[in-house]
Amino acid sequence: MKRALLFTVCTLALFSCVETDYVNDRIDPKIFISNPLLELKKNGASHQFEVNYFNYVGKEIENPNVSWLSSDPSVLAITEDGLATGIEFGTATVTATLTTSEENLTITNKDEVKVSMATLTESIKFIGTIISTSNYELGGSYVLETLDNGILRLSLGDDYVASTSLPGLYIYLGNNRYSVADAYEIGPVTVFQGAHFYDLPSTISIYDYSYILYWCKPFGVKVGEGQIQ
Amino acid sequence: MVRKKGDGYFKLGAWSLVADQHYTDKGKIDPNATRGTFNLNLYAKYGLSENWNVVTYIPFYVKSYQNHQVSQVTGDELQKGEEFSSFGDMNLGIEYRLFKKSKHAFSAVLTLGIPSGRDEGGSDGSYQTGDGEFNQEIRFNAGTSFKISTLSFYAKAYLGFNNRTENFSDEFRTGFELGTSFFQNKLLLLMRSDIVESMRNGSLNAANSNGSIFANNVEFAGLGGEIAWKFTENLGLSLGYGGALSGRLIYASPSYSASVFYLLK
Repeated sequence: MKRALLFTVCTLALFSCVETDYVNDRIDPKIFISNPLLELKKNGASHQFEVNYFNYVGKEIENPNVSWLSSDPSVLAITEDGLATGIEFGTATVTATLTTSEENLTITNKDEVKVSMATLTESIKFIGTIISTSNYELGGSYVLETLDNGILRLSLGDDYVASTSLPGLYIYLGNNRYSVADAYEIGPVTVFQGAHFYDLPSTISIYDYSYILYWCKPFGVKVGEGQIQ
Repeated sequence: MVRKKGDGYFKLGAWSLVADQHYTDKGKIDPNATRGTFNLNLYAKYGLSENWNVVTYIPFYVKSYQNHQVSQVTGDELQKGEEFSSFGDMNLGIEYRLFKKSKHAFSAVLTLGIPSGRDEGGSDGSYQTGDGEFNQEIRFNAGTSFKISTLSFYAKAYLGFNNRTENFSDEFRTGFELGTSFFQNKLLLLMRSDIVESMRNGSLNAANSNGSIFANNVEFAGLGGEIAWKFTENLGLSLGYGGALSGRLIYASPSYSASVFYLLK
């Protein structure tokens, strides 16, 4: 009997050890033109386009080998390195193309630029909705915008609500909806209803992240997300 | 039921639960990183007199742990696994025989939940081995025995109220147990069901409880079974299984137990 008990207790103990869970965190790689233009001055200063590239797990890869193309070089000329010059009044689409080294996928991002009397950068703000990806109540509208004073602010609307039963709830900005390994941790969620905002550090640009992620830290799972278009 | 003066029942056991899903506050099942709890415990019941028993449950080793999270794509570690162990929350109780006649018996039990475990454990406080509150439960038991054909059965049921402190909600508890034996009482089979309903009168929740996962308002309807074999008149081995058929804020996976028990007569 002693042997049987010892065997059973040891078996239970063996199955009660820290093991490994494997998480499928593969996503589609993406590139974003990180400094798009609305208008470029004809015969004015050139504009150096830049991109952010996030690979198949959402990790940012520095200095990607991007090729650049103008839909109408007679209106807007662009070099292989992405230096654009306004030639003639009109509109042209700038396309950044990258073939990923890992999967040999071709991915693109476009920016429609008007060549005119002045250069204008896009004053963009992203408006969207947080949705629950779990069976907990979580949702609401959000705005991500750069304020006049240069601060990047994420604002949650009056309709925002999150269940107070959500254990260890944190909010992140990330590029992989299945993982927060390379995400920016904004912090623990302390507001569970109504409008509030987070001011983000100056090192973060409005184009740096694709998702707002609500993450249950102790359970290591996403419970809500907002896609930043 | 209440044991005679000088009689006792002692059970030394191991209990394990490993779960990769849980019931949410809405009663739906959601996934989670695999978490587990393992404990070594002692349960004892001893007859002080014909009417009074002392009862105790001592989880003297409790381990709470979570698996490593690793990317299937890159093999990189996404979240490090962790474990924390300590003494757990123990129960001390006293049972009084209210009534016994023929095959029927009634008793009342007052159980004190001692916060001897740790209500914050691990790097984020979520590896608790106790709830950090002193609770008092009053429970009424009823039991009877009967025969179907040549088989002897017993049945027990209880109703209880658990008064919890530290902003935890009080609980209503009920359950039943049905058992029978074979081979001259050497083999015992039983099934039991337990139901816990929160009164939802406590303010504690996951948002204000320092990292606790299932902080408050835990509810479940559980069903389990046990098989025990008596090697001698006094000594035996039992194996148990239990799981929540439905619930709120509780793991949605079965638990397993193994124990050796000793009957003092």
